[in-house]
Amino acid sequence: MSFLEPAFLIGMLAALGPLIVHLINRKKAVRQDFPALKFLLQSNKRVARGAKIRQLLLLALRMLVVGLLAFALSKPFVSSESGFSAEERLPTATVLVVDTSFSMGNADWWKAAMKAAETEVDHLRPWDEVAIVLADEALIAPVNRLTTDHAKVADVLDDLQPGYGLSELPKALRMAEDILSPSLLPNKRIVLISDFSRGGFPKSAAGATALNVPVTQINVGDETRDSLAISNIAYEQEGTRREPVFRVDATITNYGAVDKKAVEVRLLVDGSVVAASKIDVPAGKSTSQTFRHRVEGVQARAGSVELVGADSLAADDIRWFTFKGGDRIRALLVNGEPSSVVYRDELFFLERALNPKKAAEGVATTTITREGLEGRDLKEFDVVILANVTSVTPNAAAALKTFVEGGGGLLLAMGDQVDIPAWNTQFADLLPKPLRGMKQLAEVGDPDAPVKITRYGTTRREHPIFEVFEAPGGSTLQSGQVYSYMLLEPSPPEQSQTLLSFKDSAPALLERKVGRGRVLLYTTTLDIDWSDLATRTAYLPLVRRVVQYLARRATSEEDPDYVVGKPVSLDVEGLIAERAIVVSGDIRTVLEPENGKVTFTPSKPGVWQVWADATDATGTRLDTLDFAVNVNVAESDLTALPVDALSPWLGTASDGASSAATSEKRVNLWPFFLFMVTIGLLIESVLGTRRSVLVRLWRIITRREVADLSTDESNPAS
Amino acid sequence: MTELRAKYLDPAVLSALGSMKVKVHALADGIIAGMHRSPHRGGSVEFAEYIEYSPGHEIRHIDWKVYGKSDKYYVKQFQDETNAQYFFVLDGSGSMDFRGEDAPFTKLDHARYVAATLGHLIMKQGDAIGAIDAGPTTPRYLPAASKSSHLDDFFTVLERLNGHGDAHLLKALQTIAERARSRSRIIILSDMLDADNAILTYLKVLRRRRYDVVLFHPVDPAELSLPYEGLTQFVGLEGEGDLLADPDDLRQSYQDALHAHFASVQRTCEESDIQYFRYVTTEPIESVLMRFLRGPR
Repeated sequence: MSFLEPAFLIGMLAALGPLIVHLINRKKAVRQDFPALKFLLQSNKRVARGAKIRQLLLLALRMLVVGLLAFALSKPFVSSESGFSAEERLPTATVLVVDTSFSMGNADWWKAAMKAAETEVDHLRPWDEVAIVLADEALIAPVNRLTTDHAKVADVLDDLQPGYGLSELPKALRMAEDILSPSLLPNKRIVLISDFSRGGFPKSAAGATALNVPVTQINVGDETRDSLAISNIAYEQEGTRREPVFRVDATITNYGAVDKKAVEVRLLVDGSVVAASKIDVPAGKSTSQTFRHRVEGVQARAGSVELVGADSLAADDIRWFTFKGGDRIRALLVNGEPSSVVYRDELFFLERALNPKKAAEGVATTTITREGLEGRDLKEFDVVILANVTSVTPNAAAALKTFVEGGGGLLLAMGDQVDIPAWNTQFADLLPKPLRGMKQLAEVGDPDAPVKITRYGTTRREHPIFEVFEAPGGSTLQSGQVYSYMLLEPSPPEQSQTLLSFKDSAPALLERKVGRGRVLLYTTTLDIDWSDLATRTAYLPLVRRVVQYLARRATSEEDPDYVVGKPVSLDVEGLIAERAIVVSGDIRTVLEPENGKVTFTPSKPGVWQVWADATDATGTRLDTLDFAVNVNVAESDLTALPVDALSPWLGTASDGASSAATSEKRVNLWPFFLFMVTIGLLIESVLGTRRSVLVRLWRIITRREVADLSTDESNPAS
Repeated sequence: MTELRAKYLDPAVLSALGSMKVKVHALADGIIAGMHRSPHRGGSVEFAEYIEYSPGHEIRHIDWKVYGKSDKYYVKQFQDETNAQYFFVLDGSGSMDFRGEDAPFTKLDHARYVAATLGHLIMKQGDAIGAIDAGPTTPRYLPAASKSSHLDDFFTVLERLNGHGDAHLLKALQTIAERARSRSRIIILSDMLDADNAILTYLKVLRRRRYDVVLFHPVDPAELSLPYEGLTQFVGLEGEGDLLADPDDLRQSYQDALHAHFASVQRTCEESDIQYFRYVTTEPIESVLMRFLRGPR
């Protein structure tokens, strides 16, 4: 203990003053003759002990008060690490920056963060000002102005929950500084409460500007930093369009430093677990888990993949997606040789094979001529079939290429109208093999035809198109006679594969994958000009399976990757009358369309359904617009940031603050002693006040009459 | 002697009291005719009772009208009237010689004036007064007499009350009981601070011996309120010693004890049909006497 004014310690001798006064007073007692001394002596026997104690207590109290006063005036203090420096005693404006990114939901970090924030608020003096900023992507300040209403701030803290976004510490600190700037209080500080994880933190400090306000960092992150997250989900409809089997590939990433063994991964569809597996994920690596699921029906489904008990951070242990089963295939048929004689029309057999009864459930065909191809929006179709088309315009060729690359299917059928050089030029990127020229084996009606012609030969059996021909009765394909076919130039073997050959080994059906789509080249005609297959029973299953195989598959390739907190824009042109309603769980948001679009910012991950106008029977469920929203797994990396990671933003003010925090601070004791002096004086004034005065006061307060002993009402003579 | 009469008899007090008489509470047993009813049948005009005639009765007292109706001789009896004896028991102890700041007299002086005025009234109505000083170890006794010069002797006794030493009230009461004739009236003037059980018991004895007892109990206001402040050296007036104390510490307890003592004295008086007058010495003399002379309510 040290003293600022040690000279005042001499004043402690004054504590003897009351003792001296007491002794003098005893000698100066007033002499008083009194007749009823007998009764005084009786009373004295009863009260002497208590009175003596009171007198001694009073004497001791007076000595103590005088001594304490001298002691307090000498201004004693001690040095401590937990005290307040002189500067800190001044009124302070504080902004609490609370990290509400989803990584704060790990283990007990959020509870620790709230405890730290409440402690900060509790330590505020009534004159201190405070505000709150949330350090996630939304950059919301629930208390955006400095206030002395600490109860309100405490209420806001009570309602806080970690969100689903990324942390934004630098921007939040800047915002806090802006809030502090108008304050006139002499002290300003920012208290940053975060887990200080690498996830969501800027990779570089480029453009960082230092703050002018000291920042106190409170790290609530502990050693529980294992983190497994489902970082991606890809799905694709397998096989042909008719097959309802979906392949779901989930990528699980281990952001921690410990290998994870036998982590349970589950696939859920519409809330039900449909598949599960266990995988090992090495530290710092990603592992993919593939599920296959057969979907019945064509309605949209809500799917998710989740990790069970993988780590203590739940937000990134589940990832959502939506998918939709196959429905009616839309095929665009480009007729290269239309004819007014029905059976001479190039597409006569094909149209009837694809949709024999023109029923609603068959392949929806749209027939155009080659001139109509340009300007046609190919996105409306799953398959485009060019049947004996001479050539197409460069624009149409480019559109077809884009169509195929985007997942569409293209069937190129040969015929006598085909302009080989033009095809080789326009479809160079699409043809499995360049065309060389027609080979005519026999003419129709040639009597030697049976020996000249060739037939369909071997097939790639395992290919989805030909699976059905392996069944009993499937051999009729080989019965088809081929009079002519297109010869092909050689090409790199990886560019194409032959699915069907003629007996003379010439390729009949070739496949080339372009982008996400497929191109099939049928080297003979789809009608009966070059082959009589169209009149055989194998024709119908063949062309239908070809179309189903080519048809655009449901895939996650084009699904937008929506994340929480980022706006989602939906094209609802023509789908709604007045409003769109997006629903997820118990959250329901009504959106007014603007220019045929609605924009919506999801607040939580999950599958969001879209309804037109109402969510009951009067509205329409727009399942094609359903979308999945997930957390940004960039936040999943819980690796602790280096201690100096924030340094580029903190500046020199924080250096001073941190050094002050670690250095010893002066804790003044004299206010406490002065307080004790005050209390002592108060007690002394009560103990020292004459009882007669107290009794009189008491009687005045209680309005009691003074008892009159001189006469007695019971005395009959009085 | 004229000086003492001038000292103790205040014309203003006498004027206030006017022609009020001092009457005994019970029957008086005097030796000469007076204003008080005697237990004996006498020659007054007030009819008392009939008794059957027997030889020795005066013939003139036979009621002939009764004889005419009943053919028997009955003699009329009349109430006898006599004078009364009053004995003053005067407490001249040290405790009586106390006067608080608010009081005009010491308790002793107040008692002197009360006794003197009362004696004067008694003598004036032809009754006899006697006195005994309860102060000294051997009480000074003044026999009862009704001659006019006796009042001066009485005043002399009052004058000689010195207000020192212990009270010997019990001794004084015993002396009175030995010397006063039955049915005398005993007027005690004492602060009763030494009234222990023996004294209170003896008051009852006096009453049973058919003495008519009156107790005047002067109290100084300071005795009641203990108005002193600060550390005080209390000194007893009857040699009890002294006490250094803060009155504030003792006040409540003292007042409780004093009140209990007064209540005990009063209760004893009520039980024995003794007239009890407690008064503070700030009360005017005529007021105290007026209460006494008007008699019990």
